[in-house]
Amino acid sequence: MSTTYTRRQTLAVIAGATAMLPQRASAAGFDWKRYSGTQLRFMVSTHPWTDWAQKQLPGLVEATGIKVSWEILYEDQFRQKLPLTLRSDPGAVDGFFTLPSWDAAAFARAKWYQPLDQIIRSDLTSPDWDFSDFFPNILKIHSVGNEQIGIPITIELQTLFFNKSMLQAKRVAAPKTLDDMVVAAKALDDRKNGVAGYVTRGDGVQAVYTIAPFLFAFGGRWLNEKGEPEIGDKPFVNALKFYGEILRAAGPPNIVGMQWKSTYPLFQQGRAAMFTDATNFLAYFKDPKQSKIVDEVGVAPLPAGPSGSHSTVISWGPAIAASSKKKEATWYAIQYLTSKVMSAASTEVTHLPPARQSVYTSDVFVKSVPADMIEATRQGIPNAVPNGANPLVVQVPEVRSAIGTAIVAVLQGGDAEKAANDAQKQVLQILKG
Amino acid sequence: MLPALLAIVLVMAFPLLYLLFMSVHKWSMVGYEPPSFVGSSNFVALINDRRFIESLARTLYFTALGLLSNIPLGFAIALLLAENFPTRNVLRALLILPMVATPVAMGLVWVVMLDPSLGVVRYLLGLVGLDSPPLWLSDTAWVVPTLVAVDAWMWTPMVALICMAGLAALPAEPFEAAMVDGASVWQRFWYITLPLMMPTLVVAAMLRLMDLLKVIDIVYVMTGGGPGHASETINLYNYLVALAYDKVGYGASVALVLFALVLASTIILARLRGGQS
Repeated sequence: MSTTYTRRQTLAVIAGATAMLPQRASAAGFDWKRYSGTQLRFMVSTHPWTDWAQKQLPGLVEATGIKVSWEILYEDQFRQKLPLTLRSDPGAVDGFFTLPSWDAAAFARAKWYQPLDQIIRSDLTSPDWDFSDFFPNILKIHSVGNEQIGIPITIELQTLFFNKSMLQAKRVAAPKTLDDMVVAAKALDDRKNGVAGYVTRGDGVQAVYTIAPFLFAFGGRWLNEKGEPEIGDKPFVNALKFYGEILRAAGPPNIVGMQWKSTYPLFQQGRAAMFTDATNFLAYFKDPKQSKIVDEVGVAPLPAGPSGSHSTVISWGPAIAASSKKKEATWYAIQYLTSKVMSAASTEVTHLPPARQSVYTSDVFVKSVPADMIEATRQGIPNAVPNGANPLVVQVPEVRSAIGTAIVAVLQGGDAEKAANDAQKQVLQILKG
Repeated sequence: MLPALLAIVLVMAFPLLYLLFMSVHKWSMVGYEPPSFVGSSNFVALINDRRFIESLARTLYFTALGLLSNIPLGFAIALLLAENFPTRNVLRALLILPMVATPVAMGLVWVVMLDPSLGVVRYLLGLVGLDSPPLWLSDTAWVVPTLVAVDAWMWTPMVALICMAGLAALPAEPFEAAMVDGASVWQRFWYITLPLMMPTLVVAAMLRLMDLLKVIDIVYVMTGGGPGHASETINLYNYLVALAYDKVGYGASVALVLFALVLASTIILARLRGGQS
């Protein structure tokens, strides 16, 4: 990935952030040392941002006097240990990393999130921090019932990747509609030479994420206002039919069961002409050490269906544990790590689309990713469905498994209507408990 | 004596009793409601849980295929390596390599090798004229036999090692007497080696049986139980229910069924061994 910043400049940005925060704040009368000497514990999962944040902790101590124990766990382990700790030892964890599309329903019901609106509006927040700088649609990801429960870090949008030279060779343009996409995928499919026209996830549980934009493009939604599933409805049946048809006709032969760790290498190695998944995958395609298509990657917004183009958008971010006895100091730590300056510094290192508009439009981000990616995400963000990756319910993994069974059935040639109805019944059963 | 007994009770009995306690409760790690006593309803629900029944049947299928491949193959390798030939020691050393590697790492290696687009298996089969091999891990009919084959690749060497130890311990007299009587190689195998080796084979089968019934690692890594649930074993289902779906009590009831299954199968084989010896 090309960038205009050198390593030395990056370090200078981070060092500058550390030095500038207290100075700016003191100019505005904000006392960053108010909770000096406090010891906090954060539990987070592995993520480029949490790795970066861990390296900023000495700067945090210098700026605020707050010491943080930063416990990084693999995601599976994190998903088991965090609920266990929050439940069995209230107060043991002050801050944690959260992915609301997965956690929000369960954590909100368990009352584990500290509501943040009052804190954000209070004198505990530096005037420089600027809450209004975050993309409004991205803030919604970290809100439950209009109450902010976490601070978004990055934007994980789904988009269309395509291999420019493959499309040029077949004189196919990047598809703008779902109908175009089917035609393009079939035209680009070259099974004899081991090239798929289109690839995305075929593993049931994982594919719930990648089928979601097609559900929205057909005018559907996961749940109605009462929280009841709409998986048996026409839009999901249409999404299933589309997913099944395009992948059976132009997907790799082993599409059934393919997880993202198997799909992106196909596109990366020039074995697939089109690929839809999270924008994060760009880094893998632009890495000359592992990619054969560094100069061939094109990015476009997801093709539109009868109801337009609606990607999903999810976002990890830090939250305060409601059981923490040091909520104010925890907010200071989160505020420090998510300020404008620090957000720019983290973006410089992670290259992930930032949740702050000022950083998104700054040179730090704009010059570190291709122009078509900027344009695709710019178009995608306003219409994307916050937390649309799956139904927002307490039982996310089980519900994803039930919906995934329908996706696999259709990929294997099953009837979409029957699969959707079976999934609807199962999800209803799961939600009933 | 008493401290030893106490240690056994703490280490062995307490987890089992606690599992039993959990299995009669509705129990969630997410803290909106405390565990509540539900009696036998978790076990009753299992009877109507199609995914549980299917995973149980699939585990028995997996185990049967595993035993039918591991034991004869392991015994055959042991018989081969019991003979004297120049590269025997090198082969013995090579034999244990798959066994000492971690199953997770080996599972990932096999996923790459079996990939129909990028994998070496398709290429090698193409060299001998098999241009359209099955989609090993994506085909619902092939996925379990493929996983069994990878499991056999990893654990047949252990059966071979047990059999080699058994063969080395066999008395020489019956074989010498048979040779004097003019028995053929086949007759010596069928009437002397096999009966004498039976207790050893039962021990090997018992060890493999316990592992096969509890198999989870290579399934989790290679397919995650998919496509769909086509390779979901009971232990994987147990893990998902208890830890991913947050139904700890229900998961405990699945675990108890698995425990009972392993215990019953082991007792049957142990009795068989008693009969043999």
